[in-house]
Amino acid sequence: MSPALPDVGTDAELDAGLDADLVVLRGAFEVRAALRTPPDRVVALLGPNGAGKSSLLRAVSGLTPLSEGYVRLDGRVLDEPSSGVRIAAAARGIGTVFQDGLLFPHLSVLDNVAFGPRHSGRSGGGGVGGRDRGGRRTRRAARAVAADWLARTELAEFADRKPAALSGGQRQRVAITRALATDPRLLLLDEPLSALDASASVAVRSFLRRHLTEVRAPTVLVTHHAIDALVLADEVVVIEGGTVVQRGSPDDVARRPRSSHVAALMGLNLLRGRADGAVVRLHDDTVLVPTAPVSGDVYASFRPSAVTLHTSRPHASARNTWPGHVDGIAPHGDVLRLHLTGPVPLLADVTPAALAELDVHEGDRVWAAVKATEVDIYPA
Amino acid sequence: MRRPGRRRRPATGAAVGRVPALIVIPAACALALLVLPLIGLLARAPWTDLTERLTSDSVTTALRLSLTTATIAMLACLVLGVPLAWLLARSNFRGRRLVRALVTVPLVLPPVVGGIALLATFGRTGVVGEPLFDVFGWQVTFTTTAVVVAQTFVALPFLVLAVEGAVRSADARYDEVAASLGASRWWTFLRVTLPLAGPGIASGAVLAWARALGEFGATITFAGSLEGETRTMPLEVYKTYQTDAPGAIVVSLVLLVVSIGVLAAMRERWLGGVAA
Repeated sequence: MSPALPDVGTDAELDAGLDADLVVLRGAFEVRAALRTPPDRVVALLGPNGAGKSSLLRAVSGLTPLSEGYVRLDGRVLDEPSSGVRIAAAARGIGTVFQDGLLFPHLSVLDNVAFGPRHSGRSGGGGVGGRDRGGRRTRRAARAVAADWLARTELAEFADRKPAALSGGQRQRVAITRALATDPRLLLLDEPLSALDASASVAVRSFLRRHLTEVRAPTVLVTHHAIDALVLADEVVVIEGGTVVQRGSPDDVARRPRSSHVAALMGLNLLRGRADGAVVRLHDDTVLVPTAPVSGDVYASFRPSAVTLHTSRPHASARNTWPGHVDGIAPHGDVLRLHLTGPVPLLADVTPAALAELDVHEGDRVWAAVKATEVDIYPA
Repeated sequence: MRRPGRRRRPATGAAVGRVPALIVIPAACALALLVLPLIGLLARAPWTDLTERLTSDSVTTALRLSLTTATIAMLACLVLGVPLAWLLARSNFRGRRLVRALVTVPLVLPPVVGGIALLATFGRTGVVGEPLFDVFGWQVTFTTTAVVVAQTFVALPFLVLAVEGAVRSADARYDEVAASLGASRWWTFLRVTLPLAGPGIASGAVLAWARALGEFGATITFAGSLEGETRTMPLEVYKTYQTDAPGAIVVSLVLLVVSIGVLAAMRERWLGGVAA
């Protein structure tokens, strides 16, 4: 009854990892995305709450049916409505870490981690044998595998505790270890840090960074925090409103966002307009001057620190200059970050001294200007 | 009128006014109705020759029969009722609402009607009873088995409803976690759902046991009242009362003590903080 493994040949190696192209319905909301993740790679699904990230993950793991498309893992079809294939979640060899860990409250840490090795039908997981006639590991063998994993993830001291006696961060580390201990072919992390407080999420993030490499499985990480995607992922897929709006390396997504959500996450100003060689005309009819000629629909992004503020219009022309009102002022590191409303909403960073000199307060009218050399313009 | 040196504590809820008399009076009457009969029972008990009556053959025989049959009925309820409760709570089959409604029927059915229904089904000429007798020579009616069947019939709904509630409140996401760890649904049921629903199952079992112990109407109709075979404690109370009212009180006291004792013991051990 063990699931058939694909032949390890050239084709299988080409197919290794996750290959999914799917449509999931969540009520009337449709989520449509393609994901390709080779082994050893971490893909982050980044997007606001309700964008459909978790729906995608549930479909890949087999907890929610697809309405169209397919899910393949290491060349094997796990789900394909058109051909009637649908492998049960328990037989997919996919490890999942849920947002709030969901350790079994009635089992010790050791038995939580041993649960996968004991019940999953898969072989592997090292040389610890010992199986009963049903192909399951014996309790003793499963516990040995679990103890080995807890030692590797430096959690051995908690082995005998019940989950209720652990902190949130410790629970989540155990939950991650529990998923790793099944020796998964694919690892899914569904907002693994969202339920944690700031210091615990830092600790668990570095825990993930250290231990994700322990299994040679592609990993899909769902998050709405930019930092998780930047620190942990090799590729970032931005999802908004049920569709993929951007995919690229973390660096690319961080520097050249293509949605106001990601721009806000990365702390960048993002404007959209149409270029005709010498100038970019924004939707409010203001004009941005690029350093090199471009044409077509473009995005323009620049850092809040590149924005300078003035109490009167800085030069005669309307180029790279926008009027606005100060909507809010908040400390941001060493500087103050101003939220400006106007024809285009902007973020501007100024030093406290500069702000005092300007004598600008919330509700005041200001002019914001940015140097052309500070603006990154890229095709939409 | 207040005595000096003794402060009255401010009544809780003073901010929203006094508790209305229309609530206090019926509540006090309800409590009196529940407690007074127990006091009456104790007041009229023939304490002088209590031990002698208690150790009489008919009482010990009936007590042994009652404890045995109620315990077997409780086990039968667990074996049959927990799976049914799981299906009602976790699966989404067609007609589930109808099944749940059918499960609750014995709750509202007068037990004596249940007894007649069992007789019509498992009796010598019953729908199931006749072929059973013709083929295997089995006769259920008027045997200890009939007592257990009657008790299970009336107690099962209590267990099913209690366990269904417990399984529902055991977070279904743990089922998903177990599946993601590769466990089959059966293993998930054994290793995750059952332990999580454990306190609810325990309280359901206690309820079922108590209901089986007190079963009278269905038993006397379906199983009769044969000493040592089918005459359980409630039947012994009824029979004794025909001729010897103080004797009936003694047997009733025994039932009262056994029920309260078992409930109290199980409440502490199993229910802990759940129902307390």
